Amino acid sequence: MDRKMSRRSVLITAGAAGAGVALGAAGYTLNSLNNHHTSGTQTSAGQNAIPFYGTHQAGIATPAQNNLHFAAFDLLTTSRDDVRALLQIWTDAAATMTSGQPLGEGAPSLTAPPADTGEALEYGPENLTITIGFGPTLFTLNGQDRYGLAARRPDALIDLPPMPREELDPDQSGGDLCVQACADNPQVAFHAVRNLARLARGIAVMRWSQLGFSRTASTSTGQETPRNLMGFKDGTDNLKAEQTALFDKYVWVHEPAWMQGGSYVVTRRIRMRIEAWDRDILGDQEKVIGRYKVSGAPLGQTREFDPVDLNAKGPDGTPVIPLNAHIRLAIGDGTIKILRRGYSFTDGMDPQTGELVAGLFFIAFQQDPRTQFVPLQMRLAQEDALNEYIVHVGSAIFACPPGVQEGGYLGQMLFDG
Amino acid sequence: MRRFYVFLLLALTLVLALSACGSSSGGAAKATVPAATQRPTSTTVEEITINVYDNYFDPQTVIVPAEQPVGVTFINKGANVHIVEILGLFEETPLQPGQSKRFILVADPHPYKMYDEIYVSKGMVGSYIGGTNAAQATPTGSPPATIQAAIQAYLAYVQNQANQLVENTQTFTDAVLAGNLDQAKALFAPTRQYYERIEPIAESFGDLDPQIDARQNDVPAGQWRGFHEIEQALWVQGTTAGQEQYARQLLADVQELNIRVASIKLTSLDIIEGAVALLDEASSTKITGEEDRYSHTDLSDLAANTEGSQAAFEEFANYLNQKDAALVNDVEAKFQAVEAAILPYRRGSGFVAYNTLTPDQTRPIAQALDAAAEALSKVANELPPN
Repeated sequence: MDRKMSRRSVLITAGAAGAGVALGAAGYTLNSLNNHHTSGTQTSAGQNAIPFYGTHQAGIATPAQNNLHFAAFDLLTTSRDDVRALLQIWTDAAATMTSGQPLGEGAPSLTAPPADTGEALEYGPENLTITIGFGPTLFTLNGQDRYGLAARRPDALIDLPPMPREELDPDQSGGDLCVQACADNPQVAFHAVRNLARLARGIAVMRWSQLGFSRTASTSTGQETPRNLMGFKDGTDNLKAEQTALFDKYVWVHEPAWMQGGSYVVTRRIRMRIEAWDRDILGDQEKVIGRYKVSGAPLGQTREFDPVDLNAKGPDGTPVIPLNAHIRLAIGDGTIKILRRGYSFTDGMDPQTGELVAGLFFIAFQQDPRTQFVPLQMRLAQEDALNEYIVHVGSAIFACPPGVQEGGYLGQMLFDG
Repeated sequence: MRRFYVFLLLALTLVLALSACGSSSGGAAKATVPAATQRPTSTTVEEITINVYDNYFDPQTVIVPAEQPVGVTFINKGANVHIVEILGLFEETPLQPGQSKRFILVADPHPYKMYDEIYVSKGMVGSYIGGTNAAQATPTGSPPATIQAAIQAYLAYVQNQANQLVENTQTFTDAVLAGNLDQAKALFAPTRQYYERIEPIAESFGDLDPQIDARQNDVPAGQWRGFHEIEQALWVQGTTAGQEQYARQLLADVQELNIRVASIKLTSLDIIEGAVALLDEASSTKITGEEDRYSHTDLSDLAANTEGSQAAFEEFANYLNQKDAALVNDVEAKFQAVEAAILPYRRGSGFVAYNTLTPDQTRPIAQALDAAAEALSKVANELPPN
């Protein structure tokens, strides 16, 4: 007697046509995606939409939005063509989603899973940006040249060295690829990464992900400085998008050619010892940071944007801003500048202590981590008074390639060049 | 034992003239003054001999009665020329091989650094300590009712802990140097308690805490030393071999700490902030099990942090009772709750291995620590401005 075919087996045998994308040996088709260059759908450059195409990827110089969904992925495939295909699909999907359009084309079919997961349907662009990066392990993993790209790995794309006091969880660190989705609306940011992850099934798996619920930096002079979860204004002294000359010097990469107009991103999941911080007296909190808590002014000054005077001494001859205050060590001699673009996070409770798992998902873009993030963090890790109240538990570095024009895809110069 | 220390104890208010047998107490290693060093011509002056070898002192730690003359004879029993000094008591003095020299020294009641000019950077250091009654581990008697008296009482507590740290570290490092693995492992956690009770004081000196207490990933590779470096050898490699240099360095570092503690100045706010910091230390670092990751003796450290915090608080209790008795009661009740939380894990004078506790068991300890620290943090506001 024939076994009745189950509904599930019917779907599988019906094949991939119209049901999404099958990659790899079976080839792939783009036509199930909304190819918006030809469909005539308007890319709304109107309210709350950040243009996807350009010299640089959006989401770097873009004024920081309030919600983050960041994810690192690991590639399962050994085929360079598969990786290229994934990047093409991701590029098109990102262009669609950042214009506020759902994925998929034509009327949805009842016998196919929806092309777009749907939770962002009524939302507009919500200033969504999607930024993609390549980790060191895309190029070499355990000494192997995975996709014939090892020779093109930039020298600046280093393996971050071990740093004092960090307690990195390998499961929260690293990754072959990253996706940073930022938006005014958390559902829109979540939706972006979720859909890219779905499009990658069979080619790449998610390695770790991080939601962020409040920006902890101002990246534009038009933005008010937000507060991080320590209650202090964060990002007062950040590079700002309007400072285009400084961006050219400190953020945008100029070589090699495939990275020109890109940037290196370092992410650090920084857990705050919230309970201990909350019982620290205000005067000590301010000495640890080097600013007044409410106004954000540097110690000894009045207003948030008053210049930081590291040489100021009090009546007893001791420095007004203590020698191990965070802002003093962050400034150093003034030669290291990075673009901070981080987010607050909480992931619930630590079962070992009953304490909050919360802190700052630190994101920094720079031209060269070897001369920027690494020496800066080495200095902080050794001397910062803030170290009593934080611990770095996750870490990653990615090369974010330059922007693309219509018809191109992110990383094209690397894969095709 | 290759090294031993001479320990002369006296009661707080009495000065005893020692007889030919000498006397000793405290610590694990006892020594009597050998009859050979007694000089019949000066029965009222205590006599000590310090042998100088290549390149170390024996005894390395000497505790003498403070504020009275003590005859100290250095004998160079090595093949090298040695230039010895006790900083603050006599100037650098060269000794040829075989040469001896006697000094009459009157020590104030604090530690002095003893060293060889030539070999100090190789660790040829010792401690010459003018001592009072060092046996107290906890504050006794009625805590004083004024801020100044409270500060003085706490400083005395810290000095006492530092003195005992030196003694206990001496015994611990002796065991390491003698290759006595089991004894070294037994002494590791009890020795550390004297450090953990006063850790914020050590941290205030900057370089000493990493030298004494760093975990492997706290410092750049090649710079790791101190208790945890030795801990790894004892528990992971199961050996004392190769640890001689680290043992000597550790002893020198706690001796240095002891000396610096003698001249520390603290305000009442410093002390109360330090008391909160001790509970922060317990609830941030010890509770994760990452402090003593090889021996799993974290509960011993955690208990010591709590004891040190409570000791600091208790010095101010009488003063604070005049301002906010309800707060004092609250803080004391919360300290008792911490003790109740760790009590099930005590075994004799030690504790169960920390890695045997589940999150359901560690969580109440952490929560009790947070509650105690939160209450204690309110005390700062009751202190007078400095």
